[in-house]
Amino acid sequence: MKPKSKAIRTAACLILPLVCAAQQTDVQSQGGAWGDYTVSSSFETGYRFQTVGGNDAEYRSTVNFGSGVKLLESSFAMNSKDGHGRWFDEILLTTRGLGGDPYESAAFRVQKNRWYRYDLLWRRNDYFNPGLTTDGAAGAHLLDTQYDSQNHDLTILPQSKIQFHFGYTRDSQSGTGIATAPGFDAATVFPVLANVRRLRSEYRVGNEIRLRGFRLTWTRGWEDFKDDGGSPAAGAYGAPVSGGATLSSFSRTEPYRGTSPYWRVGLFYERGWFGVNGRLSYTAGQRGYLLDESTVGLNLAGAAANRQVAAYGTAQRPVAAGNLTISAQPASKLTFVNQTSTYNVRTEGNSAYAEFDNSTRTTQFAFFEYLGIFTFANQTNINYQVNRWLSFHGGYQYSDRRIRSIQQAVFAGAAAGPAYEQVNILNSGAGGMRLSLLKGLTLTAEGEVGRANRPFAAKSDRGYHTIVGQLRYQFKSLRLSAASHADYNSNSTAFTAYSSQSRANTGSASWAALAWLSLDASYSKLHLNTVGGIAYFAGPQLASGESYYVSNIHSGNLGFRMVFTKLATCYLGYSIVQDTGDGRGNPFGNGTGSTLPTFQAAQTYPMRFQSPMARVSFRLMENLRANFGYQRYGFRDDFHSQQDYGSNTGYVSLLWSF
Amino acid sequence: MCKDCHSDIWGTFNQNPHFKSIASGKEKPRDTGCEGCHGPGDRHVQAFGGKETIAAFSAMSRPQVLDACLRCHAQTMSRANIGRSPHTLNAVVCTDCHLIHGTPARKFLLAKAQAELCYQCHANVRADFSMPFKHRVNEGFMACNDCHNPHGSFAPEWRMASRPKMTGTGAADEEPCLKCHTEKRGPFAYEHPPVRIEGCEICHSPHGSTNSRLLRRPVVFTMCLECHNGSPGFSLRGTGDPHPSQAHNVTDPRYQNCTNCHVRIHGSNSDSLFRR
Repeated sequence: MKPKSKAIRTAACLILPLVCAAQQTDVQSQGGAWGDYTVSSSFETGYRFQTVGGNDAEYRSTVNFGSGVKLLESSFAMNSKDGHGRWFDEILLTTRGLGGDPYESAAFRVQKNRWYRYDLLWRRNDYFNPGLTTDGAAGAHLLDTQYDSQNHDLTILPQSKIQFHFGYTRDSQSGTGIATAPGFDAATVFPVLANVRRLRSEYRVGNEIRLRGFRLTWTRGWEDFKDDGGSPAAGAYGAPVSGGATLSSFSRTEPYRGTSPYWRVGLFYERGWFGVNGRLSYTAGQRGYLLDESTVGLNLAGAAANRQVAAYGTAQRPVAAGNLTISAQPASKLTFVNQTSTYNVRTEGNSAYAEFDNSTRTTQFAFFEYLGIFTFANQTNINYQVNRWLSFHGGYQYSDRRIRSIQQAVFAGAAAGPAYEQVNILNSGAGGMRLSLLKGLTLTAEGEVGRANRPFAAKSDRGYHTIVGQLRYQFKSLRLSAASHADYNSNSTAFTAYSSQSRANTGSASWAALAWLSLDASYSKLHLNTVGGIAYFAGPQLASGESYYVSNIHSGNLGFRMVFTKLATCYLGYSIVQDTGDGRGNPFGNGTGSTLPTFQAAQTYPMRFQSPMARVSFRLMENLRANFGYQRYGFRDDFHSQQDYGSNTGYVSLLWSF
Repeated sequence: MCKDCHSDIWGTFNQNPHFKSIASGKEKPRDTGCEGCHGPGDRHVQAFGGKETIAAFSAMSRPQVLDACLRCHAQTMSRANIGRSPHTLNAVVCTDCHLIHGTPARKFLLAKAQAELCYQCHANVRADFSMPFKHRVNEGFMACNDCHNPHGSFAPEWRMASRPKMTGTGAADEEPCLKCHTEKRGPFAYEHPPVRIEGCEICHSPHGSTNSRLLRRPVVFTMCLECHNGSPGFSLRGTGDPHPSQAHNVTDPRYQNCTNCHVRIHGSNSDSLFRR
């Protein structure tokens, strides 16, 4: 085989991953010369189509590809031949999904060696999240928004001992939705229309200095956030989610503004066998908010009612964090690393709340939850390489977390509520080994055991252990891997017991079997079972018992890549995720734990999500290829069919590279 | 001289980030060009090639590969924790992910698309991202390093500063989730304490889930009630997270989706029960 042909096939095998019907550039452009530069580029444009049968909202929530003409993928690269371009040495632009795909992105880099480097990453996501129905409990909320993110980074003198960094990030989310609002009584909740308008901006400036083996970095940043969402004046929407009152008019404005200026300082030093790495950061978060809510309608008795709520205040959350890592290599085969970290955050502020029912003030108080968290942790790791094929590592961590809170709302003139404080101490140890039995064959195993004396929540880590083992084998283009992960946690009190067991057993293989054929395959079995204490009212009776949840997820991926000379390439793939649950055939059968059918039905969630795909690419001319792709998505909920869907997606495109 | 025999590497080396060191002309010979990584090539030339006559990465032990790269790259702060990272402890080194001489993925010399690289060892994560509800990594909208630092990170500031490992942080050393989901950051007059103390993972599976909104349970009420069961010893006051009042008959479907009413479950400025 000619080297160039082989390179093209190798590149095609590398670039065609098993992902989705989102296209991939089949062949990397070889490029050409243009003055003092080499230029290579490719553009793939075409038409994407889709049809959906079944629940379209579920499809939009999980896949969301639409129809239309798209610039599916493009790249442009320009590099100076000698590294001494007049204005730049590299320009690199890549795009994906432009033209209305739900996942669009563009990355741009321009740099001149020694002088500057500028990076831009832009992303856009059309996000649709309906109030999905699971086990008969319908969600009342919906979001149909667009999320935009852009990130700019400029480095001046990137190869110098003194570098300057500037950055800007802008993230925004806007769109419409359906939310809920409380009615005139505790039992009534209304669905209301909602606008989403959020904007986050971050400005950064910093410096990096290298001197005598030390590297000092500092960054000063300002992060601003504002939320101008709310409900429009005619925000009533449909019947109440719960309760029997009637809503005729609803409006809510709740502007929210905040800024979080921060400092980050890092110091790094390494000389021979010794290294120090430290970081300090301080963030002074502040928020100001205002809520004005008006509700008009009929109460449960059918009488006219109105409610006005006003709340306003400020909040501060200063955060200070520090880390210090000391590394030492007293012998060539022995590495010692110790890390100390501290974290201190407190949330405090002032706030006022006033409520007017039928134009009469019924409630007024000032309130704020004070929440302070201080965490200290120290971790030591030792890594010892016995010889070329055997090494061990071990570590110990001590963590101490203190939480202080003041929870009560305070009526005017009343004293503040009592403070509560709790301390949780975690001791954990970890150890592992790596063994290279044969050339290309590696076995790694590690485990961790932790004990905490005062976990915060019933599901928090208390007595946990993890075991991870992995076997990897590589011979030329054949790569085999098998792994097992187990994560157990037990958190019990005299009243309840909570334990979770998760195990993941996986196997994967990739092999370029022939010059024209390669394959990827993987299988995972993810098992989870948890049992926890619950207490609830079933009608007027308080019941208590245990909540079981069992999940057995089988996941498989299979992909074949075929390169038929230069004329055609083909990719066939299949992906499936299937949760077989606890084996029952209907939602109310064979349940354990609670005697309530409601809980038994929620103990497992058998479903299947599968996606076969095919893609072919034909060479039309030296630099022009025609591509065809198809992918089907099928979702099936075994117990509740109202969310099932099947969709056919695909595209036809031309790829031009030069 | 190297390019006489290794013309395939030299032919596109001007597109390689390491070409900067050659172009600058100011680096010491041992820090630039082929010998910057492969060491002196005199013997290699005299012997007309051979792995035994030069520092060939394919013949090095894994710690040697790491040391060779870190001679220049250790100083970058994002890699400053590489010595204690789980990747290093398990002998995963630079050349497992990066193709130093050139790669189809133009950025960072990655040997494959980033997610595909990670899936090679983390097949369970591939399974997560194959779920119906997931962050859009396979679709190319996000990348693993949006949330993780594969070169090692400082201890996480949430939970007990112990787990998870190799996770990046947001602006205020918080969970990386809040870099994008900023509206859930607060501070709020009423915080839902687990969000701040235990982090998002106590309710959500960040990679992917069979359940909408990446929840750990298919229905909301079982997840809430597993903490809100009145069990003493937990919560801020130590008196336990209260179970629902008698007004909540959980046999009625309308009380099974708790967030229908407790809509601001991540934190609220006006309601201690997160209803507005």
